[in-house]
Amino acid sequence: MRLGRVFDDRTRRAVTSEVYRRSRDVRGGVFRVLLQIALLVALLVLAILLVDTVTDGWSILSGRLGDFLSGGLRSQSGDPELGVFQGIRGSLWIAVFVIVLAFPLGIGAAIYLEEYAPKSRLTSFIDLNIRNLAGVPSVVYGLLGLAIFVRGLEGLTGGQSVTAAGITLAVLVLPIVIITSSEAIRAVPQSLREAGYGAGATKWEVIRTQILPYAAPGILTGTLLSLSRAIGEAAPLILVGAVTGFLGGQSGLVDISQLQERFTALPIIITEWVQESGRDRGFAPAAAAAIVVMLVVVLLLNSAAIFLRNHFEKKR
Amino acid sequence: MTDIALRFGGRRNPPVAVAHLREIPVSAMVVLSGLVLLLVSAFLPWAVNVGSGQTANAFEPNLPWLLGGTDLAQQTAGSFGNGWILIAVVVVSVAAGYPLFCGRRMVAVPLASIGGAGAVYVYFTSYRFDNQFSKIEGLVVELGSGWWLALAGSLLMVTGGVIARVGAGNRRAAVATTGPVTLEALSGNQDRRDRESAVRTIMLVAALASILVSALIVLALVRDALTFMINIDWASVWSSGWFPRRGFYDIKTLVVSTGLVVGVSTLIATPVGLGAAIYLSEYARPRTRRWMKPTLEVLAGIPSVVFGFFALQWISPNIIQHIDVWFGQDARLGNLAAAGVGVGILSVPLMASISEDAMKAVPHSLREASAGLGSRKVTTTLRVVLPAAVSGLMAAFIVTTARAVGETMVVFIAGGGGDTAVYTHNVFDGSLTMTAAMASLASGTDSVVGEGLTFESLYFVGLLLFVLTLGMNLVADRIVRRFQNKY
Repeated sequence: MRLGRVFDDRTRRAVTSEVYRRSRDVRGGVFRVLLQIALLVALLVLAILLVDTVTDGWSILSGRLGDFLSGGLRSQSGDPELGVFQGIRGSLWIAVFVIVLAFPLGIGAAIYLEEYAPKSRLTSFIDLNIRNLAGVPSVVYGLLGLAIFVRGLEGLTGGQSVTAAGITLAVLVLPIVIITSSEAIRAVPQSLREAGYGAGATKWEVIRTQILPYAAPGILTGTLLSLSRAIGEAAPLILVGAVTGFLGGQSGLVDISQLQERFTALPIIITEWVQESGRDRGFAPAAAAAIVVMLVVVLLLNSAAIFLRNHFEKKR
Repeated sequence: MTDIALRFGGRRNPPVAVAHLREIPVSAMVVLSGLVLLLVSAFLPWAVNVGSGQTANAFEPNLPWLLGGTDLAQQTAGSFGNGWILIAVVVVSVAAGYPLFCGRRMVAVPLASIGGAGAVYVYFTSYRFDNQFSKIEGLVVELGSGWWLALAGSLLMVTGGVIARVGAGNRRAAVATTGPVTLEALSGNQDRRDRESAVRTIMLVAALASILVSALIVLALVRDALTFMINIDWASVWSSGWFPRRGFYDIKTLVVSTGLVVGVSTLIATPVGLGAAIYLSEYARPRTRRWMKPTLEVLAGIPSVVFGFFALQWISPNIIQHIDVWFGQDARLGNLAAAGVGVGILSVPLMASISEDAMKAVPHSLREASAGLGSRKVTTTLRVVLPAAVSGLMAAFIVTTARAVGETMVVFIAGGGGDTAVYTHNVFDGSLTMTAAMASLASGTDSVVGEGLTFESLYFVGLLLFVLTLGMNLVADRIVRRFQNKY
């Protein structure tokens, strides 16, 4: 009897202490800390990168931002007219080409694949093809642009022109637009389609009045991301023949006649100045300032896209 | 019966102008587009001239078709490029393509031919202005490009047709909706059916464009790469360095330095990316996730030139040039290790997001079962979630590696290679990877020039790169497919 109670107490104590014991899971703790370190490294790098770039370029950004935005490519870093205007102009035109060519084509292809395509061999081939295109290195798109748009279609594009570059980058982001738009369209509830058909609408009428409006935020997110990708992309432009040295002609921002002329773009200017900084240290701050100008545009586009997506995801 | 047929049949009352436009006969359309073409070709050079201020005296309209354009060619030579032809083609195509989707498909093909032929002719005349060539020479030289324009013209006709069609109402009124149900009433509206098939065709064309892109990539790469492979002395492809302008195209130099860069980048991207993914997927609270993920996405959105700058200006002096002494090396500012670290950082978000997706796809029941058996979180993660997601993680690894192989700008800026590279397997040396070699071949001069096959070597390296990354992506794709079917 007495012995039994002692035993009971012991058991109870043991169980209680096991249950209420703060677990000392050393392995788990170490693992968790390691994971946090991994994430912190990524965030820290981002912070260092941003801070380093802004401090490098601060002398220009705070001193002569206006001149820097309106100036051109120069061979001396001390030149007071050194600036990124031609790069902004080139990048702007590239963005126009991406919007005009890649967006309608990409969204159209996504609509076909999600709404019209039968389950056929052709469909799965197109599908596989698009996923593979998304993985092709950007420099290979540059070769495509050089062979087809610069040399093959010289009469149409004017050779190493902003037209050729714009078409090349539109082709580059096409698979991204298709994939993101497809995902957005796939997320549209089936019931919406059925309701539309039930009311007597044809396929295209359902797409236009129900599916596209519903999928619009998702599609917009994808297009914004691809636009920022196109603006930041440099490798294809080098191959297509962007100007790195001196570029004449300080014409306006939207002058149609320059579409077939030689061109440059923001990422190209950055590349050039970073490489020149080995010869002339003064180009390093200029490159940093140009990066800040580009990052402002790119990050604005990106955060708009991310915000849009999060906003509408929450709503549904 | 209500007017269901009308409800989805487009606008009930098409704008009067449009309704009248649709009654214009096709023949009148053709004449009209011809007139437009003529007017555009006559006035556009003049308009362009006014804008450029080059030939202020050329104020009179220029009618090349009627006047032959010989004397006026002097005034306008070189002042307008081929850009205005594009505009002409657009105008003609929109005008001529209008009837295409009004149920008159039989006239569409001849019209497209007319548009195309017009484009060719306009192109040919403008070419003569530009180059002062005789008619025949111009035609012979530029017929190739002319056909491209013809193609573009036909494509634009379709666009024009769509624009016209969307703006228009129904040609035929909807079937009367009172009275008995007839076969005609049930067959629906002819215009709607036409539009359906037209839209479907257009979407299909858009989807096929991606196949065209692939075909063009392969075509562009293979043609010049073949020229290289046929004409090259293969001894120069396996020599001691990459000196393309002097005829030494040592592929192993490029491949080995690519391997070094990818190796370093994998050492960074795999642990950091995988760790971040595990934390976000298994450990992080929803609130932490909500700001961590967008931050990683910001990192993913930073263009690669920026990482090139960062690798050269920060990573190299602050990290690489400190640790090189551990290995008994003395690294210059530009070196493969710095480029590798840059590429690694750039790949972290990609690795993290694909791995996280893979782990998210593991069903919760597995985690719950593991926890129910009394395993700790770390055990569940390492013994249950990771093995279940292993194929997705493999795919993430392969895709990230393929991305690192194809990354250009970081290596071009920070890799320390000039135009040429000597063979090295030392990661603290500067050298050229495949991508950097291509970029440096194409930059600097206006066009790729050099000894013999320099230009074609660009395509040869490009083809190698393409095949390599395509292979990796196909493998990753296969793995992902398999793992999607699993749960």
